[in-house]
Amino acid sequence: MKRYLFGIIAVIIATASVAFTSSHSVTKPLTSHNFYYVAPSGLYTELAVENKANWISNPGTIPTCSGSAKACTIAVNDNYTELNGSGVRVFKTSGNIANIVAEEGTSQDLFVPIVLSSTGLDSKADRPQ
Amino acid sequence: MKKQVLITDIISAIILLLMLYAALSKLLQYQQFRATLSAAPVLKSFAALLAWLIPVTEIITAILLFFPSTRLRGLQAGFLLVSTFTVYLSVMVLATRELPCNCGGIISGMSWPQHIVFNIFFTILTGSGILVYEKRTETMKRTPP
Repeated sequence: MKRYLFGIIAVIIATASVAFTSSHSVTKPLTSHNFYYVAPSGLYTELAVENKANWISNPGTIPTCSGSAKACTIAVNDNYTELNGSGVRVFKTSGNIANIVAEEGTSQDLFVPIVLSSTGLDSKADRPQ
Repeated sequence: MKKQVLITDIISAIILLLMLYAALSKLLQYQQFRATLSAAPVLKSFAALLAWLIPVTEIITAILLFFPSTRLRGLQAGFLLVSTFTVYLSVMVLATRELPCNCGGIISGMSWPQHIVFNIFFTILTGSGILVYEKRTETMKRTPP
């Protein structure tokens, strides 16, 4: 029994710590949240990718983002997002307003966001053609 | 001999704490963790599988560390896990400018280099635990009944 003592203490501390930090994270959000590109009619034009209405935080299925031809996901800094009345994370419409700037990816006429030229973006991942 | 048992028990408990905390944090924020893996270089193709596989492996390691009879296996599994994370992190930090993180607790306040040092510390600690455990087994074999 003595040899289980430290293990039991470790289990208690781990469980208590997770309970504490998960309740804490409700009031202190993560530094960024992912938004996923929902291509309207399969379009990946500059205007469509730069349109924030085409980026959502709660897609039905989370896409696998790899490659560098088309827009897929962006991590938006929490200063630029908020929860709407339904509890869905959306872009802020006042105060810190995110701005997505797009450029042509590795394929012609297909666009991807540029983190450095955009406002409020922490990172991004694209998808193949 | 008693000292060696105490050392391995304490190291096992520390690694158990780390593994269980990491696994529960990931499972409680499963959607966020999976989304982060989807944005992570190299791992994104296997995000759906890894989002379950990593926390389940961490829980199995914690269970192995809990029981004295499987503690060595737990330390070996823990060493493999922590060193894999450390190598992945180091390569990604050197090769990628932007690396997504879904870290919880004190880790979320760390920079990437600090995170790597944190992982290296636990890799060394787990490795030391294995060495002390094996030394203890050697001593037991040599000691006449």
